[in-house]
Amino acid sequence: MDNLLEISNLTVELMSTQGIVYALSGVDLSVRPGEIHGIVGESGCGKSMTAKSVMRLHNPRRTRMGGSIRFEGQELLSLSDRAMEKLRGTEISMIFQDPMTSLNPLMTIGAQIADMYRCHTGAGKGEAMDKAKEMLTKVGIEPAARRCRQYPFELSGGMQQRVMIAMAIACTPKLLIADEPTTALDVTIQAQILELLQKLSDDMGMSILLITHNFGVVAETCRRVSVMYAGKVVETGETSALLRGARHPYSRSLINSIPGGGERGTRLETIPGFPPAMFRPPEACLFAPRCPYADDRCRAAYPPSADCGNGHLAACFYPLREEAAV
Amino acid sequence: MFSAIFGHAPLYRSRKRKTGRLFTPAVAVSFAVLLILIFTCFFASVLAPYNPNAQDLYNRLATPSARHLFGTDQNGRDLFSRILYGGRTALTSALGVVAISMIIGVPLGLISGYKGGRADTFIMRCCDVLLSFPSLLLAFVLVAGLGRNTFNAVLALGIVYVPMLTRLTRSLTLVEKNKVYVSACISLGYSERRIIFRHILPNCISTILVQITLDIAYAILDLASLSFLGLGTQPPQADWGAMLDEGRAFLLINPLLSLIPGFVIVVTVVALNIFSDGLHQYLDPAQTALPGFRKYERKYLKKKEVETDG
Repeated sequence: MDNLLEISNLTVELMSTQGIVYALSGVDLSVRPGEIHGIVGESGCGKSMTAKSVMRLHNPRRTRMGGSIRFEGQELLSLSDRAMEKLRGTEISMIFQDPMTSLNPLMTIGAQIADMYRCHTGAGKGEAMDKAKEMLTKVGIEPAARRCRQYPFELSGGMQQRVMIAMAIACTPKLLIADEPTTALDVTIQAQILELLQKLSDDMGMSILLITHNFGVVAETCRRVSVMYAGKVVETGETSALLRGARHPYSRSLINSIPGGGERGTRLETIPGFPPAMFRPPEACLFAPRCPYADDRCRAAYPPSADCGNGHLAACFYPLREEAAV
Repeated sequence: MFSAIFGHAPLYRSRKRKTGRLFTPAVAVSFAVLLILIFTCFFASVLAPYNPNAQDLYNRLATPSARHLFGTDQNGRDLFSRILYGGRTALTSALGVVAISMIIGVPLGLISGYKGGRADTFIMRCCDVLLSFPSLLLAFVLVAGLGRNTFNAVLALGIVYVPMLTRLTRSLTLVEKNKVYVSACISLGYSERRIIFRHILPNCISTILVQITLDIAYAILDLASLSFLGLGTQPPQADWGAMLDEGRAFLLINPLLSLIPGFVIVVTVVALNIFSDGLHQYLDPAQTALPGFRKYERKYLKKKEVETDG
């Protein structure tokens, strides 16, 4: 088992006032040690759902999970709550989309990082505070000794995200899940944060599962990428290969709708229609109603993953040939 | 205990950094009033000119004079001394009531709000049962069952006050629980106990504190009602509420008998409220009162100009 994280056939069903929502229906995903793996997709396609499932953050009374999530060969879905608690923070950590609300407003940032460290190592107060300063320096917040005493509201969004990262990696986890870490930040700060994540990944040999809806972010940082649509992974592959020639029509249209790729003066391509409601997904390719290439076969059954070589998988009956995407 | 609850709340900030200020003028005054009240009541035995229970039947219902600062009551007892001793009873019992309800109510509310599900349902239905009785009536029943004295009245009221505090804490917990930082705490692997007591509680505590200071005021009044009905403080022991009720019969002859205890109660309650409000603002670091631009410029920039000129 050379994969750090191995998700196979993960299903998540949510109870809602309007009935059962089939949020994830068979997600397959694997993250290798030390790599940055991207997940891309539209809003509501299950990216964050997948991340939360790995952390087991769902309300157990309103969700039903199936399939398997293996971390270093250990099944996470059947783990006891206590064991899961031990794993969080030390083996797997997570950072969130909105750094402004993900820090405790009443504790200084130094105290929060120190608290995190003490919680898992049982270190003394002084030692933990030193560690907090070390971590702040590591994520590029200077001068750490003074910053330590500041409250979250005294920092900018980018700084807060750095603090969040410092907390998440204080106990050197093997996997960091970053759920749209740069969505709430502007573009320059976004670049800084991504650079930081990349550097940390290289220095610590830590894997990162980077969730985003921005192909630009993926192109810059990720070695491999999975494209999600309607609760399923439709295509997985090396970032460069996938960007050059996506096999699944959905990924292809997604890439084509990035501004800047086409000729000057032409209209930007969009994908017609909306993602399907997830109340009772049909046994068919979910992209078929929006797909220009779909035929009866696509509307009758869900296509299996076709291996296009070099670990590149696409769930389509008619994978597009590799050619210049533009 | 204090630091455990407040954690890293910036109580020490005013020393380290010049921004936050607890003692704005209003808070300073109310705090001074509270200190004076507590001090005088605590040292009642030293400060009081008379024994609070010594009767002087030739000198009943006397008006204020040099001998009797506030006059005397229907049994010729010195009202000033009785106010001091009565404060002792009233304040300690009110604090007792609040302490009991807090020790039981706050953890229950936190657990109920955070855990949800069956624990929540169970705790909330118990609260409903308690709340379905009029609070004073319930206290009567408890005191009648336990035996009438001050301690039992405090215990009974403490239990009666639990559901309100539990509900408040629960609702605050429900709000905090759904904030992202709690998910962040979970995903960083904090234990439930740590999340509840080190992260959620400090974020709720300022509102709870305000409620508690209000509860102290209610407790003073409710204890007075119990005393009036002969279920709380037993005569001849002095107690503000009991004195207020006793004075009612002589309202037309010497209104001070009721007015003075009533006034003291009002002052205590108002001071408590202003102080709790100040504390509430101070404990929320984002609301820290910074000096206005004008004041700042007057105070600091002038000084700098002088320095550079010199």
